[in-house]
Amino acid sequence: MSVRVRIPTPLRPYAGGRNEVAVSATTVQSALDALVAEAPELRPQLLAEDGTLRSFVNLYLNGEDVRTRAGLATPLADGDELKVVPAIAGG
Amino acid sequence: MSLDAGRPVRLAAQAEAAIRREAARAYPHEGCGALVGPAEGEVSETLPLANRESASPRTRFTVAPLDYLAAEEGAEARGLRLLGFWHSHPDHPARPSATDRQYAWPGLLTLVIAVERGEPRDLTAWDVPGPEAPFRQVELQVGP
Repeated sequence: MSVRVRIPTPLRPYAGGRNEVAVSATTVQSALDALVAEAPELRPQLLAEDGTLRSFVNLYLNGEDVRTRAGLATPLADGDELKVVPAIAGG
Repeated sequence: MSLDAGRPVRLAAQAEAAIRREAARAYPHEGCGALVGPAEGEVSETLPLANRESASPRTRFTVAPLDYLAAEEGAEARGLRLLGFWHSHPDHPARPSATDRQYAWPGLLTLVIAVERGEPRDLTAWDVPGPEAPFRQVELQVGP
C-alpha cells in the first residue's frame, strides 16, 4: 500500500530536504522501516536504540496519535498520510 | 540546518509586539507561539498557540501536536516556513532552561521573553547548532 509520510521542518535536513516521503507499507512500523531505509539519517531522530519510537516524536494518522491506537502495529490503508510531529515543549 | 554563526535573526516589529502582548496576557503562566517567515532567520509573523501544559503552566509550556501541524501546514500553504517557537519565562530571565534544552530541535529557532510581574522585558534568540550542542545565542534585530 502506498502511504505518504510527512516530515516536519526540523527533520527535513535528515531526509534530503524533503517534506514528504512516499513508502509502501501496511503498518506504521513497516512505514517507519521503509522511511529509515530510504533516509537512514532519520533513524536516530525517530527511534530509540531498542527500536521504539522516541518520546520526543509523535506520529499522527488521520488526525489521531498512533499511541492511542495500536502504536507501531497500527494498520495503514492505501493513501493514508502518516505525519511525524516533533514534541515542542520547555520550561 | 542551523543559522550561520553570527548571522542575526530579523524579527518584524509587529511580530515582536505580538509576542510581548501575548506573553503579558499569559502571565503568570508561560505563553507560547510559532515563528513564521519567508526564509531562515526572517521572522515576519507569530501565531499564538495555547500552552497545553496543565500540571505546571507557570514553569512549563507544551505545544499540542495538532497545533504544531496546524502552524506548519498553515504557514506552508501561504508560501511561508515554520522557523521556530517563542515562549515566555514568567519572573525568570530570558535564557533557555535545562528543560528548554531537553526539548530543543536543531533547525528550529527559539525566542525567550522574560515577563516580570506581568511586564514583558528582555527578548532573546537562540538556536541549537547540532543534535548534542548547547543553545547558542544569536543577535535579534527588530525592524519593519
